[in-house]
Amino acid sequence: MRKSLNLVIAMLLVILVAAFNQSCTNLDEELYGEVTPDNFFNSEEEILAALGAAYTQFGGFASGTSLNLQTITTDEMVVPTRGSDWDDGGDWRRLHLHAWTREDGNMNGGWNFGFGGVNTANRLIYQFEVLVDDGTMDAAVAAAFIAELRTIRGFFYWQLIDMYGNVPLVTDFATAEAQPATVPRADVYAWVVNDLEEAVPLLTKTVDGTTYGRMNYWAGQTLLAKLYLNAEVYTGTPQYAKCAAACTDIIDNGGFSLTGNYFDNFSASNTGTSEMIFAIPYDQVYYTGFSLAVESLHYSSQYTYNLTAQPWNGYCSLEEFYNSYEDTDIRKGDAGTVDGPAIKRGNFIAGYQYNVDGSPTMDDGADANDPDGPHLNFGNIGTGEPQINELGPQAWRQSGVRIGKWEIELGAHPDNMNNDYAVFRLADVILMKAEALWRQNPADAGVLPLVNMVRARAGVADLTTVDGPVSFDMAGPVIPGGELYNEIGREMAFENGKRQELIRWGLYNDVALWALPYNNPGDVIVDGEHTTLFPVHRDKLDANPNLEQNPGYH
Amino acid sequence: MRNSAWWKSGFLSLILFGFAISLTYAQERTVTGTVSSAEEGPIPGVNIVIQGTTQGAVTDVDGNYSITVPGPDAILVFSSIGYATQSITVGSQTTINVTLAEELTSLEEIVVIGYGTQKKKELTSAISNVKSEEFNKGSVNNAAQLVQGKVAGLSINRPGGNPNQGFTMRLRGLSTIGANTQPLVVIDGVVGGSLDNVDPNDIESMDVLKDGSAAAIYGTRGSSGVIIVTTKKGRRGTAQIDYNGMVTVESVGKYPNVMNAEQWRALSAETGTGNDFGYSTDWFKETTRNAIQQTHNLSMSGGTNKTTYMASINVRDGDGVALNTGYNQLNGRLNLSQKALNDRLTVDLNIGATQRESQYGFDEAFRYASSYNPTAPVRSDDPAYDQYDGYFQQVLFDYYNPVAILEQNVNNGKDQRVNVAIKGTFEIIDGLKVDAFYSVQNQNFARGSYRDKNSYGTGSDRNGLARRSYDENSFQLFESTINYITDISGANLTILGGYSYQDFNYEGFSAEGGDFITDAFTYNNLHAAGDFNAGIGNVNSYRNTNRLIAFFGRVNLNVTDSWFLMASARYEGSSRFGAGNKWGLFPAVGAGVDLANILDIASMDNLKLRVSYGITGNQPPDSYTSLLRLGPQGNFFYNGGFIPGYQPVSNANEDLGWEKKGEFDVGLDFSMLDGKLYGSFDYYTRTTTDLLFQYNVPVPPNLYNTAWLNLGKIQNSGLELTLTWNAVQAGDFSWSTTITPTYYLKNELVSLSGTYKGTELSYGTRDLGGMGAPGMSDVPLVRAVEGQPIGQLWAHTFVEVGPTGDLILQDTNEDGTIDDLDRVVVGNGLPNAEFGWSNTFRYKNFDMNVFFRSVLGHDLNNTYRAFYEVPQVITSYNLPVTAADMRNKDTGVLLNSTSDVLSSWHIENASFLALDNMSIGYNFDMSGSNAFRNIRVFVAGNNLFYITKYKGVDPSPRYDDGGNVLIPGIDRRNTWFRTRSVSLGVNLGF
Repeated sequence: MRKSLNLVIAMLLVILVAAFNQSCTNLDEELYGEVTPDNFFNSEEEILAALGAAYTQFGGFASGTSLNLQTITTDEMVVPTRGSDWDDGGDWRRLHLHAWTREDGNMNGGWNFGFGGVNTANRLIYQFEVLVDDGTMDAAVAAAFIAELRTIRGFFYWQLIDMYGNVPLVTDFATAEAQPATVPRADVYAWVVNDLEEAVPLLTKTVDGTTYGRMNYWAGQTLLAKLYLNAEVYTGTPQYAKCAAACTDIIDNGGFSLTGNYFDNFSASNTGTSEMIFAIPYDQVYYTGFSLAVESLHYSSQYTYNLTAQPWNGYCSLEEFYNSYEDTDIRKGDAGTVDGPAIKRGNFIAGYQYNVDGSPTMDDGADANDPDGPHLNFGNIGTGEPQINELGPQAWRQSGVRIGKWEIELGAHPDNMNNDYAVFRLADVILMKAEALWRQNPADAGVLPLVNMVRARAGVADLTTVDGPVSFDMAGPVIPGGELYNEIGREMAFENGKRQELIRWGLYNDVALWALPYNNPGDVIVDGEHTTLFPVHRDKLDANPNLEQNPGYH
Repeated sequence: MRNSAWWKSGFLSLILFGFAISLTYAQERTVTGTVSSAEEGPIPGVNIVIQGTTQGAVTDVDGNYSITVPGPDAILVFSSIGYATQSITVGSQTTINVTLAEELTSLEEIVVIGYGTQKKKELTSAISNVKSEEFNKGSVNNAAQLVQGKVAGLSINRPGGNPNQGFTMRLRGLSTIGANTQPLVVIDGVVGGSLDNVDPNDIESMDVLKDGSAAAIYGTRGSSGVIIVTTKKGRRGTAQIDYNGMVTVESVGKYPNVMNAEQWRALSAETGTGNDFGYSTDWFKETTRNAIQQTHNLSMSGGTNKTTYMASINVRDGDGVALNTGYNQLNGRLNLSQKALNDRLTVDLNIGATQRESQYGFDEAFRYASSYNPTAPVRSDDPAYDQYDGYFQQVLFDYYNPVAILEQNVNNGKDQRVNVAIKGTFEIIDGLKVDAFYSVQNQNFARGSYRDKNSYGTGSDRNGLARRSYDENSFQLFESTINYITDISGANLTILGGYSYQDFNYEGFSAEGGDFITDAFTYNNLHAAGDFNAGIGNVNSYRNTNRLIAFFGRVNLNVTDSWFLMASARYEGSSRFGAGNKWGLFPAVGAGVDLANILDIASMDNLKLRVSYGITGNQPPDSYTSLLRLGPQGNFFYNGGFIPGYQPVSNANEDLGWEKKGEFDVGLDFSMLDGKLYGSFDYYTRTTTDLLFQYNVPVPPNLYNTAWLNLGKIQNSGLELTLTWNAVQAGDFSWSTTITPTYYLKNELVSLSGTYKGTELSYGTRDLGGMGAPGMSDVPLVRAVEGQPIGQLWAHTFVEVGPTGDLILQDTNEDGTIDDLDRVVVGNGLPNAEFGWSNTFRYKNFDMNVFFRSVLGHDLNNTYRAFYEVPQVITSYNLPVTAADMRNKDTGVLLNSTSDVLSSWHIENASFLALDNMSIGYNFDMSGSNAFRNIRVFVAGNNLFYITKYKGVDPSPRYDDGGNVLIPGIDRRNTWFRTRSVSLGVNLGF
């Protein structure tokens, strides 16, 4: 009896154990909401989605690190420290005073932006080659994609050599070294330009909805023109003739034309204007990341535009830059007055601000002794006060005209704006050609007509000379090409080109001329040739002992 | 509650079932007698308790007693310090005289270890046992709180008095940074059980497995310690009903020391800035209140020879000190045990279920109550404020009317937790048992929040914003063990073998959308959100699973009660690891020798030296971390429309494997003066290797810029003492005291570097965290350095306010400028030492507990002061009273800086001593009552006072910042204010 009982119990236990036994030692992972390469790349749509990864990397170009490094370091833009706001350990003041260090976050950000793009392009080239090899992907489709990816890679290398100069050159994913060594700027330039000269002719010349926002032939040509234009800075060897030739090709054969209205290129519905060569198709839902409005506008501006989030009261433009526009220049726009809001929009948001219902936009932080006064007034226009009293730490809250070049829609998401962003547009190519011609021969008769073509659209009179004092030092000497410098600045304001321009004109170290008064203990201006390159961030140096720090930095 | 009819009816059945059983027994009578010892005659003060109840009596000076028993099956348990406990079944007797034998009681205590029990004297590892009578008293709403401060080496903390926030537990310091830092909880055999599904009233004891050798039987999840919870069970031969009820009044124990309107006006006048709105508002009074909470516990238990049961229902209903916060919770438990097959088969069924509805409120209200202008009104009739429902608001950065936040918006949750466990144990032959255990735990979390259309900030920005989420996590656990106990020539041998299978499932759904026509729906009609039509609503869902499978075994040997040996091993695999590295072995050994026995030391009852070593593990916190996965990252414009871009979101690491912690523990257990003084001393040192951490890796060769790797090493060591002294035992009065000091010798980040696929990954020195906006986004909080202690607070050194009001900081590197390079270590966020000190007094029918708790040597970054102790900031914010003292000592000139700068000035020593809880109870003499077994009334207080120099609201250690355990010691501005509470309660036994 006992024995049989034990047997029954033992059997029951065995059955229980057996119920689990099928998975007794199975530890394979089961996935539900995730994909791996094993269950992806099965359809054309999935392959296209993989290519898309190369383009999402552009999302950081229009605002954030690229903007910070290319414009806050110049006479065009500044982030003053307003009381306790925007102190952030001095990061923003250091950018403006050229006193950055290898610890500053932006130094890491620029590197990540550049190499993120390079690596994604390299990875996709490699993956498409693998997909062709295993028969998943059509070879002809892959070849077109790979030419496109090489051009994208060229774009990000251009950014890297522009910001950091000497960087590792990683050109193939499969054989890449984990800790690649620093390569001299000129060598990277040579490889990249050579690669682009091969790849760009393979790109489609079609300009329509299928190529909008993609690297087509014309975008590739503009990229090459940018590299040639800066070649003297990057390598010591000028390539202005090549630059002019590439620009001529685009102007003559691309089918692009200047829009009648300058601001058509910056409106919230600016997709596919006749002037756009390569655009980032920002969208509040699908392609987020264009956040200039939230970075620039005052807290209370939320009520001027009925924004869906409170802005941060940060980025603004400098007085001399604002004043470098003639009052009749349609690019400048109006300033709001005590009688009412600005009528003509411009690159700037200036003067008194008004809410949608017409009531004044009020600065609730203003008190009786506050020089700003309660009625929000950007740049203290019309009050006789300076536009920004100082860089920091005690800049006034309302100081500084704000960035209004890209239309701020009523009800906009200021952190995710709808406006497309032209990385390359025709006016830029026209001015590049003018500069390339002028640098080869200052007396070239082709220069002024090109510059005046752009000026005509802005409603300002033709220039008769491209020489003159530069905008941040109007009392200073006449500089050859000074007025060309000013015109490029006016047309291309806030489009991430100002730092390159200053360096090409050899003016980057005149930082003391445009630096605002600063009064924070420890703040200093740093000038020196080394500042034309940014330092490699410490995180990067720590991670890769084969990297060399740029000269002049520790 | 409306949707849980099944739940209610289930519990009604349980209650009826319980009544049905308990009604069977009700034959009360009185038993009397004398208790004496052979040596000393009658013994006064002997405790007599009816087993399984709290009903009891105490002998008088002549050793006489009288007690009412429920029936013949009642078992009387006679106990007194220094004597062996004796149990006698009443049967038909009315007089029971008892002779007690002298004995060392504490050593005979049974301690719960992994998959079994052991006598305390046989232990070879560091295990602390806390019984229900030693638990913290008063307002305790969370099981973890019961043992806060009671176990040397176990830190339990909750900064601030948020009733809906859990406690952070940490055992013997931080030994992992990438994996789970909280101890594993085992509830009645359910590995990974939820402490939130067991009511504190239902807990019989908690055992803490502290060292590696004790925890290694739970191998892979034992690295952060194991807490074994045993719930109350029914006892044979009793049938009783107990009711415990308590009402608590909770109030704010400490507010931040901010300026009132008058002080604000004075400083505003001096700085010449700031807007005076003419009112005088105490924002703390407006946002907080005295909160009332009530707790009810009804339990019934009992048993026959074959069946024992315990069923209970627990109701907890309370408000939080912040407006519109609180919770109400219903918990039920059934523990049923049935014997069959000539008592060789035992089937145990345990069911626990909890439903909790919570109003979370909004933590940021605390921050804005501190920083809002005290001259501003709460509400205004001015039509300009109609758009905010009449609440006063100002458009400034990071500035919101805190009353409006709490009153206009809702933030609610409903949690449901169910655990069912069944276990069959069969004794095949004497000493040989096999068992099979199956358990399911299921937890559901429903959340809903709504920001009103007129709520300035997120609500008005989005024209109403609703969010709803449902998350579910569940597991099933199957375990089977075989256990054999035998005597071999004087030695007692226990052998255990087992198999464990556990799979986990996590899934959920959430949606968020704004733009509503009406506020009427709150979060109950997301379809009405315009955002979804506009394409900016968010919808998300997920599911992931993982499995753990293990084989384990243990051998215990007890030779002549003098020599003790233990060896165990667990071989365990986890699905979360790389294909080739899923399994790990976690062995442990321990040995003990009772020197008092061996060396015949007369003055010592027991002097056991024990030494042990064990290896435990940790797995990654998430599934699929060893796989290369692709995920959507942004969109891509193609042919006039957007398609998602897919790219790698993780790297493959087929070598990903267990993090391993080896721990060496040497301990001394002692007992002397006939058990009047006893305790344990432990020294431990633990080294974690193959540290799991998400590293930044280069791209290429890697596809993604982070990877989960096994690199790095952490070391901890410390000393622990537990000392109990039964100090006074004189007639009607007794006093017993226990102190549990812990000293942390070392908590070092030895290395976070290594080689991965041929790449050298060097961690070196990192500045971690950020103070945040306004103005200190890039200001780091903590410096992590290989080879140095974890938790180094990093800031400038404050020197003074200069004669002209300049902020003067130390130029540490003497390079003439003050910059980032001048920052230094100005404190450490982790404590050096902790202790709890409990005292139990009895005088006649009174009992009193006094429990002090202390944490020493940790610093806190008082971010509130760092942001607002700047006089010029009065333009936009209210300030701490101390802001007015920020002036030069000689000239009296105020600090002129408008920027907030983090310096050593804001890093404070947060050591504290708290009167954690205190209770006084009175036990009515029920010997003449037929209806009641016992009645006790009590008054208790919690967090009655703190002695600390810390200026913030709560000096409790902060173990992490936003989940990053390498950033301890940061007191953020959203912390709930500390609270204190007073409770009145009654315990009734029927």
